[in-house]
Amino acid sequence: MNITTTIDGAKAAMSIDGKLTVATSPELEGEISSLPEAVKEFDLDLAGLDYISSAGLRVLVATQKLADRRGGSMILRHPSDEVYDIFDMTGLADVFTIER
Amino acid sequence: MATQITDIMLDAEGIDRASEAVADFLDGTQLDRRSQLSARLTIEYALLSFRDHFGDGTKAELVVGNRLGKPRLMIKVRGDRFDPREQGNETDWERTFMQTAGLRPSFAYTGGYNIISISCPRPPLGSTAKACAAITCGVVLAQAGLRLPEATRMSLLNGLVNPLFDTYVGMLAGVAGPMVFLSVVCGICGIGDMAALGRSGRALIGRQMLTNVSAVALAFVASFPFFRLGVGKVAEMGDPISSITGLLLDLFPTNLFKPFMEGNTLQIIMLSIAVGVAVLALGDLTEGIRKALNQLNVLIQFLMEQLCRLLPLLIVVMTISQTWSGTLGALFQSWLPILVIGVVMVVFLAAQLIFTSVTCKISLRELLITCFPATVIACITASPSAAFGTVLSICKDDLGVDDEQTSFGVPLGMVLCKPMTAILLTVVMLYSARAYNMGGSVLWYAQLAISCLLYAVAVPPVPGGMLACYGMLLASLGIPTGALAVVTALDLLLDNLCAGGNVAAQIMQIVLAADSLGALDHNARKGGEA
Repeated sequence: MNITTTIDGAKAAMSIDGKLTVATSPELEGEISSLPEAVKEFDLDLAGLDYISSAGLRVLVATQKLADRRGGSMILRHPSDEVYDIFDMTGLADVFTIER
Repeated sequence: MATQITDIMLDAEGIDRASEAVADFLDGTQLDRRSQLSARLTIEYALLSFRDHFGDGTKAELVVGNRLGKPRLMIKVRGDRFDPREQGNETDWERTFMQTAGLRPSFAYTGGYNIISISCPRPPLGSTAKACAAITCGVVLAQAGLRLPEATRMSLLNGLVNPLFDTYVGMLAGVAGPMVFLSVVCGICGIGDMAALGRSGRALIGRQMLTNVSAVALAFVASFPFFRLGVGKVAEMGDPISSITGLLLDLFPTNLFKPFMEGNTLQIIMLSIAVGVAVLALGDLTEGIRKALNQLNVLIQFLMEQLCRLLPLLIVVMTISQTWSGTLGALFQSWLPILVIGVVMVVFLAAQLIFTSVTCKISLRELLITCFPATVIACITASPSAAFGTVLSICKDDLGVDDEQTSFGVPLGMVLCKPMTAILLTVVMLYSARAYNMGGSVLWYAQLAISCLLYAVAVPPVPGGMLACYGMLLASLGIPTGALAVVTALDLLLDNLCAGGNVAAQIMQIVLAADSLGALDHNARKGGEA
């Protein structure tokens, strides 16, 4: 899995390619926790994400909560049909802000 | 598939391997994608929960297999009792995860093992399998019914079988009108802009009408033995210009509601094209209406899908009705037109299939297999409407036609693309004229060709739709209405073949039109080469 991060003030734009499995989710979790505390806007591009596991969903939920605590927001962009189905069937499509 | 047991470690790599194993197993079933994802996520979640409780490196067993045709997944972890469904510390979404993911795992604690089991839904029977089962059932019941006294059989036929059939067909026709209207309107709106509409519309409508014209031409050539140019009794007909003008003008509705009340599909299509183009042209001003129309479209297609679940019952009822009413027997007296129609239909369809295969670079075998379910459904029910949902799915999912072309092209094709109907009408009219020792001038034959072309398009896509048109067509050509008896008998047999052939031709034309517009995604085809 590849993660590309760009920070611009309070906004972090991240592009995730590959699969967010149980083994690779800690990598995303680590990347997010290493961001400066000033970052409160999380812009995640999921166009290259092939699959997200339950562990990956936990990381996204935790990131959403982090953004909420910091008074910011998280947006997930361009998920594939499969990834969006996963959000939809787990009820997270109503929790996350998703741009298709 | 035999049951497989795999030992896994409850660490990150082990859980991922288990998840992949579950995905591979479910890929070999016929479960829909969402059910497969649900099962995979549920297994992952359960394994993660066990890992969190029992610790990294704990051993577990993954069991996958089938039980009574249903895919079944099981996890076994040795240790103290721990039910992943009853966790205390997780977030709201995690607490409800196992319910919202769509599958309800069961838990048992036996012999020191925590066992989570998921029984996936049984893969649905394919449309063809259902249709074949329904035909078999219909034949068996019909044959059993032939042993009943005739009075009892007729009573059952007129009191139960035919009313059931008429009611179901009426329901199909009732939903078909709004469904066609909404599908065309939403299809046009989905195109995006007026320039794209012009391009798509021209490609589709042009191809479909050209298909019908080709079919009429081929039917004329094959029916040469029936021609009696100016020989015998000359057909008396109404004013040819008035007849044709009337036909063309009747395409345009004079009342917004009458086309739906009368089930006049062609007028519904005209209305839907007008409304769709208007909504598209007005853009943002009709944003709310566009949204409402899309939602209504989803609703009506859902209703049609539910109605189509009853199709096997319709097939049983039709088989019984046609066997008990003796319709099949009367047709063998008209073997020559049946032979001509059959040969022309087969030749025409074969040419279409080969042309589509070569032009769009899809193998003939793939085309035949893909079109088969929809063709069978339409053939058995004599109703392209019944195959509507299957055709949508075939075009979009199996053949890679994009959404806009599918939404716009399928309902349009259901009404416009009827080469088999055109062939049937042409041969039947020519045969009827010959049967009454009638001939005509070149103009009369030209009127016959144009009339058959227009009536083929005007016929509503439901079983028996043509019966309503035959009387008008015979009168307009000056052929005695006594011909109705044979015409009706031919129609009752061949209506089924027509419907099936029309659906196959529709699919070919949609694929060809999409290919010409660059809207055919070969990579999206199931079984296609990536």
